[in-house]
Amino acid sequence: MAVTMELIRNALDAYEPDYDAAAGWGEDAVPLLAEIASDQDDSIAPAAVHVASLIGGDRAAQLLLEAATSSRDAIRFQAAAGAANLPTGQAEEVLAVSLDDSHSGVRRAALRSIDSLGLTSDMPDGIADKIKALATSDPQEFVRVASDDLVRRSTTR
Amino acid sequence: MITDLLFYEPGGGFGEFYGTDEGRINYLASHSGWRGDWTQILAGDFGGTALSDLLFYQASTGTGQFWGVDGLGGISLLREYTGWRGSWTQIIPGNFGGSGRTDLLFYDRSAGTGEFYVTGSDGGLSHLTTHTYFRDSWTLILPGSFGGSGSTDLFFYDAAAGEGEFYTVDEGQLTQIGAHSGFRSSWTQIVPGDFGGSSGFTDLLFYDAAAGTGEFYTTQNGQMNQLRVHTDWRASWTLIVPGSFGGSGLTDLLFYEASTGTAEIYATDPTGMHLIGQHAGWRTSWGQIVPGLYAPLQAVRLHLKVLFPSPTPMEQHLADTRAAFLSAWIRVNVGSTEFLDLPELTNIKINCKSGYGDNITGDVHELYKHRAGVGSGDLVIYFIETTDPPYGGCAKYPGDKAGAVVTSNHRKYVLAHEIGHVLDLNHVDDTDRLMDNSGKARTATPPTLTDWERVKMYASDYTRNL
Repeated sequence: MAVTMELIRNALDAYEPDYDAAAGWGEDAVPLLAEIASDQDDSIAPAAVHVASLIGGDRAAQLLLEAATSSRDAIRFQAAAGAANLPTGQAEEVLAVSLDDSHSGVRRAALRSIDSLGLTSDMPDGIADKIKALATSDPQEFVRVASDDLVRRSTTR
Repeated sequence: MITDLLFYEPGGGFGEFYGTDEGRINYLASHSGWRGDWTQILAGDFGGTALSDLLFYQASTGTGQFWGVDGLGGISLLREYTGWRGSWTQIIPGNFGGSGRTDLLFYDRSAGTGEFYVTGSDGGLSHLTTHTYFRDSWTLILPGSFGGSGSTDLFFYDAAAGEGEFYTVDEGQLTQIGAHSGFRSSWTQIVPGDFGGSSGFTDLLFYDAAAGTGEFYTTQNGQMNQLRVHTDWRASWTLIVPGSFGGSGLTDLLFYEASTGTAEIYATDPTGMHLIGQHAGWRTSWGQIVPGLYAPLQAVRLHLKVLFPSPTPMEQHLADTRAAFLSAWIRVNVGSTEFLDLPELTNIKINCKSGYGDNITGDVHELYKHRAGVGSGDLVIYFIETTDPPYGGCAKYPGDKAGAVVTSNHRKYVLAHEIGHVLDLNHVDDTDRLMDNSGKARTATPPTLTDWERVKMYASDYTRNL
């Protein structure tokens, strides 16, 4: 069945969307998801970002990169969290942005994605530097603790 | 049976309905634009819904209006009467010979007249008897069980004479069973209830504001015996309202002090009273507080933990949930509201794939540790910013710590939907129904529940019988 905007909107507007089913929509759904994700007032925009991360591909990665700079906290949070579903190279681009985010929840989501992707064993210098800075100077203790944990377990490229 | 409250402010024409829950009160709805000079409002079964109906009497226009209540604090007119006497001093509810609904005794002090009426459906009234020999000096007439006849008996208090008389009533006919003299003339209020006296008979609390005294008496076949005396009460209580507000089974008492806008709720027992609730910040202008049953008799009790302010006002969440649960005859009480500064738990990872149940993330495990004030059988609702992956809400909770998260990514009726999960309801594909998870536009407001879903909700450990 063709994935239509109506189908996507209905599925994502559920109280508890079925993301396993949404992951199977395929890359043709990504432009529609991008349209939703770019609407700052759309209540399902964060869900669109998450589904794009599950579908993957270049267009989805670009969607997440743009979402990482959204003015809306919930969308940036999903970009940081969803980066864990992308290939390492694409994820690093998103996470480099998310680690600098003003929202502590976004920064912590980025740290978790880095851990989930296994980047601690092969961390780019740029990201390692950002995490070291967070470990010592982030205003939120839970971010400092999570960063410090990553620093201690990391080896850089 | 639990007692709810209707507060009426004569000057402003305001009315507010509240449910009660173990000494707490829960706002249901407010009304403005009511007449500012209702002389008396009383609750009873006047042929409306299964909940208490209301009679409003306005002496200045000789108007009587019967209203039904909807369980959410809304009311609808059953019947209006005009041309009533403007001189009725007091209307007393009871079972005086009618068919099981609440009958009424109208007392006209100036004329020394009492008239009994029985009520029919939708506020219908039928005259039963008229008595023209009543004293023209009764200060107060109280209904109760003072003679054990099965119908409602009456206690008449004449402050000026310092006298009290007990009567039984049979089909509107009165028979005196006891007369007492030497009463104080300064009793401010006399409150009927079960305060631990003779089984099957109504006890009486006498309150003398000037003296700061409360005296409890038991009655039996027109006789009175003192149970206990309190001499250290405030002299400034404005109203004392009897009811079931969460005490141990005897009649609880709500004391309202208008001058300070405060109230205290006490449970009574055979040896005394103990405080179960204190309230401040109430209006100082409530003129009548009318006890009754204004919301369903089953309840869920929520404790709201706010980590992130919901874009939807909390009262709207609660109103939506109450509306959705009304057809299941379940009320939604709020046990407490707490604001938590926990940024590390405001955006959390969650596993909600199957909708509800156990199998939780570490974040959810940490979140549900915050349970201050939560009792057995209560639900905790955590209002957070967002989840990974994004959900409107999720009812996955650890073990017996029942509850749900609701995110700022608002969906209409999400709180009701998540509580539905906790009460053992599953997703359905039907846009009329509360548990629909299709995301399609809703086709029923409020969303519906099936009979089977209502049965499951009743049977839940988290639904309590009031």
